[in-house]
Amino acid sequence: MSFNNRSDRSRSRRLSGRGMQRILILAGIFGVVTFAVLFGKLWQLQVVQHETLEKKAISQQTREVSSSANRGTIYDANGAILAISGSVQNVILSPRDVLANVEVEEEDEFGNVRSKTVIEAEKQQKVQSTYDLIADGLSRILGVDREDIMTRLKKTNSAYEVLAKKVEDDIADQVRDFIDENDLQGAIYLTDDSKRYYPYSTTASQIVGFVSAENKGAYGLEALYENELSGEDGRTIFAKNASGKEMPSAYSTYTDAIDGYNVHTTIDATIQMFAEKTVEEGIQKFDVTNGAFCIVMDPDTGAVLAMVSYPDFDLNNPSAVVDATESAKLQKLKNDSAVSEEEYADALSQAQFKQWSNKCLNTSYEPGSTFKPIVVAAGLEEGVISEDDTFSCIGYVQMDQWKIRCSARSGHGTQTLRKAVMNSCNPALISIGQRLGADKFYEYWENFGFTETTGIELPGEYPSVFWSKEEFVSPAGAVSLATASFGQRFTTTPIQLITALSACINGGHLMEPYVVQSVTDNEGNVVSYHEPSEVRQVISQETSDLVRSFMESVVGGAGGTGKNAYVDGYRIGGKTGSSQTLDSTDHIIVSFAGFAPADDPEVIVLLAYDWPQPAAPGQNTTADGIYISGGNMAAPMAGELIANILDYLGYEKSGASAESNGVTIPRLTGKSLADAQAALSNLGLNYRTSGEGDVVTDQSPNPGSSVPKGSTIVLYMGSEKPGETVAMPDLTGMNYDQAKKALEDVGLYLDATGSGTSGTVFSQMVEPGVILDVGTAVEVKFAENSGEEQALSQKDLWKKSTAGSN
Amino acid sequence: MARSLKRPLKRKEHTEKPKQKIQGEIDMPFMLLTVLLVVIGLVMLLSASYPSAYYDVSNITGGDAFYYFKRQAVFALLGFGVMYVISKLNYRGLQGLALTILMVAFVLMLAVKVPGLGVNVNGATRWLKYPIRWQPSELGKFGLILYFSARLSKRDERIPLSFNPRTGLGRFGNLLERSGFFELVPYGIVIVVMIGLLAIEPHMSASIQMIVIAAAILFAGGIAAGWFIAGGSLAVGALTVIILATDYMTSRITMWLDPWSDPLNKGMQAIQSMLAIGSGGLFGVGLGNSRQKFLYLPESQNDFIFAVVCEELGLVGATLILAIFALLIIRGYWLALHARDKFGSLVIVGIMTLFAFQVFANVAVVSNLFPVTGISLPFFSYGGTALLIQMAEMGLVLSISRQNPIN
Repeated sequence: MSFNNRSDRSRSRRLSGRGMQRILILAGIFGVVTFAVLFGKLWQLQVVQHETLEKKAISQQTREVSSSANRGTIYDANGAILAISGSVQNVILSPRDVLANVEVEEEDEFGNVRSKTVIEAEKQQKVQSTYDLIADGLSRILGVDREDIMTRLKKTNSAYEVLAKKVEDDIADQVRDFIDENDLQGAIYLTDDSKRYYPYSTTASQIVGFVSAENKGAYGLEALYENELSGEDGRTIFAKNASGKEMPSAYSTYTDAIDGYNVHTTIDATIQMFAEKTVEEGIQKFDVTNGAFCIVMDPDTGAVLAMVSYPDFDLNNPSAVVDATESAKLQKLKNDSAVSEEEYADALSQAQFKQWSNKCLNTSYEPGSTFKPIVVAAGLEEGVISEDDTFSCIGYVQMDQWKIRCSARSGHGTQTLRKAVMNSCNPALISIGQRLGADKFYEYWENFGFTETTGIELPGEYPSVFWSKEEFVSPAGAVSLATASFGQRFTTTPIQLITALSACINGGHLMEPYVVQSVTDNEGNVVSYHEPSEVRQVISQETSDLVRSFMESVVGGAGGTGKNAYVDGYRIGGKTGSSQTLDSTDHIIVSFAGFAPADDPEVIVLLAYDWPQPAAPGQNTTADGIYISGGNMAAPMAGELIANILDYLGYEKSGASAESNGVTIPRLTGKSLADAQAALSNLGLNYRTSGEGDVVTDQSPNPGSSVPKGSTIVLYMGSEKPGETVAMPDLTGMNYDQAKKALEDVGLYLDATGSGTSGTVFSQMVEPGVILDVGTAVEVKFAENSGEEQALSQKDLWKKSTAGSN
Repeated sequence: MARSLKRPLKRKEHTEKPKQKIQGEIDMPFMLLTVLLVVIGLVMLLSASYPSAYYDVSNITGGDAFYYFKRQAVFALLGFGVMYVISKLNYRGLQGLALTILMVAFVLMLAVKVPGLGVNVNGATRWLKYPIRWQPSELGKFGLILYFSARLSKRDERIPLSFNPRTGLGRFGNLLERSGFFELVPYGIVIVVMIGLLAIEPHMSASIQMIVIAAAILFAGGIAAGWFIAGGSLAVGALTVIILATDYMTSRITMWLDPWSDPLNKGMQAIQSMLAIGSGGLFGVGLGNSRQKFLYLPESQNDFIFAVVCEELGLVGATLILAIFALLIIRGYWLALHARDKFGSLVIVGIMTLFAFQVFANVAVVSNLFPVTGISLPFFSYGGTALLIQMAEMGLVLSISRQNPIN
């Protein structure tokens, strides 16, 4: 009962019904509604936005450190380094840390807090002196403008100001010392970078190409093989805590940097330098104004051994204009106040573009007579001509109202096919073209690969410019066919031409030219290898053999237009060319396409000089009196180049012709005068004696020297051989006899090469004025001015005969 | 009738121990849920606190990764003892002590301003140094709950004021009396004094909590709904004015709406917390595997511990924990409904509402549902005295549950 009583009493003090309702409301709000709201919010963050938030979280929780891959090396055919990367440093300034590093004691030595103004003033002073220290020190070490450093120091929000890029080790060490000495760690620091070095600087500059400031391939093989060379940067991802310390984490990943592959080119740096020397010498000698190009190729494979395009540039500084005339012109523009900045920048970029462009494939030109072997090959292959055919030439061909002239104005008369090629006779070639017919001609034009680019792995290859097939094969195309037959009025790129000419002499195989032999990885494993690839067989082996033999006659045969390319001891074949251009009557491109050895060609060379300057407008010789033609200019230079290359490649001179012009002097010392006399007369040499003895004690020139027949040998009979020296005379413009006499007058001997007794001095191995021992044999190269291969101006070649036109 | 026959028999056995006649068993579900949460809270504290303890961000741990955990564990053990003891006491004695406790709380809240007694942290003096560092405002909350509950439970005994209806003033006085105004005056005074004391500390989040528990108790105590509508409108209006008028609050709200506008500074806490929660996804990165606790998340052992929970245990784990909280809270209100007297009911309402509000506000801040204010998560956040007080309050709820008539 009492329980009930108490229960009754307490019930009266218990919560009212209204209170209970309200507690239920509160329970609903705080036990259900709020939690539902929270769940909704968490759902939004953890399900809806999960991925975005997680990505952001991971990006702040991890640090990615990239280790840069080394860029691969570019090698020449023999492993010489054409391009290599070296490590360098960038110097970075952090103005923010410079400021943060400046510390001022807030308490004096007695532990009392100093006043704010005093602290501020001291801080100002310290900051200023730190600024001065840095600006002075770094401007001295880096050669950067002091004011520039000051300006950057004042960007106190910045932590990354690049003061100097790609500095090398010696400078970097100085900067490191400076940092250590002055306790500037963190305020100044170095970052790794790499720099591309080109040990051969200008050599094969357009082929190798260069990289951008970010070490990405920008031009040439550097650009084309960017993917192979660049490699893959390594990445390490660390988990880190908010203060940047590394932590173990499942998210850590490590990827090794994969170094770039190495590119092995077919370019032979030695041959390349031979070719460059040949080009540069010719430019000097012939007053060439518009550059030059030269390609050296293996005709059997299409591997390019050298490729020169002048003007070239220094790969280590590709923006600098190298060519002396161009840079002089630019300097003048720069100094000229009338020329605006923009005009100067325009001129500069034009000059840069000019030196970067590779004439061997970024331009096309009229091949001229160098194209003729291709027409002859087509004619022979189609059977429309044979070796025994004869062609007559009266000095011109009349086509409707056009009179097309031959270089020999009086005509070559009746000539065999071989002779016609040797003469480079236009009427004969026109006749061959006509026998072929436009259809067949065009078919061979296609088959020799002229309608498409060769596919060489270099940037910006141009196409040829030819008549459309419809136009060419139509009756109206007859004149076009005639001019095309001797290589005029259309253009090809040098690389197309040398590829087609290779097919003419290598047994008829049109090869795809290439400059990259293989790509290897860091351990030397071959990643890819370029097998020679034949596009098609264009002509038969027999036709090719015959054309090759014709071309050897052009150089080696009597009266051939290419005889200046002849070098003793080598079987060189070739074809000269002097191409007119449409822009100026003076603008002639002289060229020579040659190969050796003629029986089994190992190298084929295409050399051309663009626009040798005539002595005066309209004249056909240069200021030095050299006749402007391929035969007189390109041929002798190319001949010498080919001989050098064969020497370098280790081809023995063939003995028979080696001595044709000269005699090797035997050892005569110790012999009696009579014996010596007999030995010399057997060799066709004269002698004089010096001294009174019975035995030859010395001789001049020394044994082994080569001298022309009829030279006079000095025999010393007991008397001392004088240690006399003489200066080399200037032999320019002399003929054989004049040169021989001029040399013998001073006690030197002539060792004649080139065309020998005919022709005039083309070059002397020893520069005038050089001091030589008396009795030295000097090699002098002679060349003939060949009237047959002289340049014809457009006006001469194209004579519209109005007479009898109606 | 069978039941009433049996009962006296049972009672006879207990007559030797009169106290046990009125005190039954404590409410087991409530106690188990409390223990469960305290244990989970300790585990999560260990996980969330060891990086900041190890790296010794606040320069107090000396690099001991278990620093926070060990201290919290000691307080938790102590808390169980306190909870047990209090649950054994008769809560009804507190009814008479309510005013005294409140007055003591007021004095101590003033004492924080006495140099040498109070502790200043970041410009706020909320702590007393002795005997250990603690917040008198915690006692203030308790005092407020007790005083309001005690006064409201005697509401029926209050004699309505009556004024001379012949005078205008008298008629107005009678009108106010009928609307319940005069009845509310003592509560109002207590709230105003309390908020005044908190304002000078200052302690914004405690003020809000005071208002919420006061409102909840008054609401459950039967005060006319109109007053809550009026008070609520007044609060919303005042809040709006404060937000718009003060730059500090405006920027805080802006930062709440778009924390990404200042990710390294003012928006940092909110962003880091959201990144932690978002990283957790559905199932979390695994217990102990939070990455955000490695110094990214400020106060990872304290106000932002729930972000670590979300990151490590995912939406599923976080929801489970919230569900346990919800069950505890609902059970608490259930106990309020079944308390022996109105005082007991209202005390539970106050304690559970305070508790529920803290949970809600903390998780809302952590998930950027609310702008950042310093409210810790009961049972989880590091803080020994807070844990002790919370467990004592749970003990009080259990003590009330013992006298539950249906027990």
